[in-house]
Amino acid sequence: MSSQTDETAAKTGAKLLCEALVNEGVDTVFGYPGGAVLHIYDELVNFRDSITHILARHEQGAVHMAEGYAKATGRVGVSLVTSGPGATNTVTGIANAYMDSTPLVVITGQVPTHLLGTDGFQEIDIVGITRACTKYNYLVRSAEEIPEIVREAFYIAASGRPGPVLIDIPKDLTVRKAVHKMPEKLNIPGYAPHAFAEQGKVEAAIEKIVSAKRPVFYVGGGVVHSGGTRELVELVERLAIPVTITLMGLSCFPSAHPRSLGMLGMHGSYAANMSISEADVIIAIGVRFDDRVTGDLKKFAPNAEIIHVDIDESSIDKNVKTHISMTGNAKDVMRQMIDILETRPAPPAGRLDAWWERIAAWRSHAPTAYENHPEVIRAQYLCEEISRLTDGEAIIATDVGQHQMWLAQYYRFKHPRSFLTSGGLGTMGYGFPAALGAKIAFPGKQVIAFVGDGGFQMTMQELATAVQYRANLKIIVMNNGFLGMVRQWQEVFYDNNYSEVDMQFQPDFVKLAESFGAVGLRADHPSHLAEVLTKGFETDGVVVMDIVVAPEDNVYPMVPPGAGLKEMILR
Amino acid sequence: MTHYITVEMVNRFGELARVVNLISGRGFNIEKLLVNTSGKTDISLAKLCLDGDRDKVDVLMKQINRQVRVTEARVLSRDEVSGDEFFVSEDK
Repeated sequence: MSSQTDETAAKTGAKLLCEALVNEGVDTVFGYPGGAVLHIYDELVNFRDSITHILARHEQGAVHMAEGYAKATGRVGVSLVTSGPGATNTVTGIANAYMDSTPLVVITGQVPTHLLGTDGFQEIDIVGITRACTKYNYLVRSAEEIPEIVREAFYIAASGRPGPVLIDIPKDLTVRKAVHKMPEKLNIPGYAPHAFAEQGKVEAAIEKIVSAKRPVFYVGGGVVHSGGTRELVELVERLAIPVTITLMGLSCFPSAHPRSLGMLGMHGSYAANMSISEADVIIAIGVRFDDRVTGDLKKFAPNAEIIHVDIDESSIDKNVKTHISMTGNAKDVMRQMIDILETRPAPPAGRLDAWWERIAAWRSHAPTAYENHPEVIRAQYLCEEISRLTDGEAIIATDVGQHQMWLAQYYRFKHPRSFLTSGGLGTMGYGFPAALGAKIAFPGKQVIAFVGDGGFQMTMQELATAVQYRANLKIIVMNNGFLGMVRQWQEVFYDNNYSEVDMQFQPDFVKLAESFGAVGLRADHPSHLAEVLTKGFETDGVVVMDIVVAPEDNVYPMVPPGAGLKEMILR
Repeated sequence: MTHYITVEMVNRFGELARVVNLISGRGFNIEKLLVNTSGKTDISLAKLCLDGDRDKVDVLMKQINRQVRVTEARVLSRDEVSGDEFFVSEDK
């Protein structure tokens, strides 16, 4: 489209950038200043009425915050950092967002154009470094193009399968004055995200679903991203089919719903993994058949025909061959399915009775039941208590590892976008800054960071950020003194050969919190747990709760690496 | 076996790098590569040969097609490449 409107007078690149961010509706930027972004930070002061800048204590934290903000709100998270180390520190956060399909725009400063390629001070080719972990990235070559690039970046980040987009801006362009002419319409050859699936395929899928004898839903993050919870619940209730949910999808379907079998996969519920393994039709929506979900592919759902809906065509037939595949937005395709069901007689009641009886038997196997210990807090009990005391109404963020799996198993999710976890990349240190980003987006909601003692020590300096912005954020450290999941693998698969998993020295998390101006609390006995959690939740401001749990406890069920889903170790 | 591939993408710095990066990141060796203008406005055409399992190449092609400014990527049949000097010369 060559027609051009919206002429503006000459402005600096920094001003064009700030205006472009405001045009995209950006209200919060998580960042950290430095030499290459000095002009941008100078200009940002003039935009304080529209854009709140949150000063992180490390660029990785800033990007995790932006991701927490994005996951909780469904909007694009924004991060602004300087060149060189500022840029390289964002890589883990960007990769995390890439793996979990979170829409982010990360703006990095770069050395001035004339110094590109000279090994200038704080020069690094961040566009090159992030090619494999961004949905798209830009090196800006003129100030004129900044507004259009920003508009494109937000569109690309948020549309289709969402993901992070990086914009690298050489310093000289932020001070150069330019007149920009914005095209009326974005033109991105080669980029056209799908919404609806081919109607004929949806009809064929419905035919297969209603005639299935052992059908099961397998739903994931795509339902969360597309805002498809209502459609999913309606579809499930019309069809009376059981639902298994991936880690990334957990919040998209109420845990207490009678059709929910909970999480599937490596630490999934017995009923979920058995039903997937015995199914004759699997309806996979917004999922990608990740190896942590499928176990050994050769043994995955051997008797099932697979119907797969995903917005990313490259996720289809990637790991598992499908019988009916539909490229489309999860919410829109589920709406298509409902519309077709409305034109048909309801499937006969009781058609799945035999299937539900088998599922009831698997459920009563109840391998996630645990016994409390009179003297030691068990992590499972901690997760159940958090669920009980919040009534599932909180937004809760985790890192990766045992605490994450136990929370996934024992927390009763109620609302989409209430669970912010590092699924694909499995990033320690993600949970606390992500929770902080969500808290900044929703100051009125209860937000909890649930982290392990190992992960917390990777990004705990963001306590300063949380206190500076008076975030009413609660941090629960599940402290077992070990790198628990690695320890579990060493116990189970390496004959108890513990190698560098014992955190022999720990800071005093209570004093640590106090040194940051936060409140620190500790519970190390089951009889005090509820009291400490309640006090922590009720205390205003940033609270760190150090919860000392059983040091050597394992997450079960567990599908050993390389095994099939049915080959679960139950306890 | 050798696969003959064409990738059409926006003729702009960085686009080829994204495609090549994606291919090499999955362990495929690019045996031959030629990039030229395509005759279509602002679109460049890459021709390349790589060796690999067909299933893996099929997934790779979808991932290349997923790239924002790739307009079309596909695997050519032997018949399609028979008259193409670039592709054919690799058989010598």
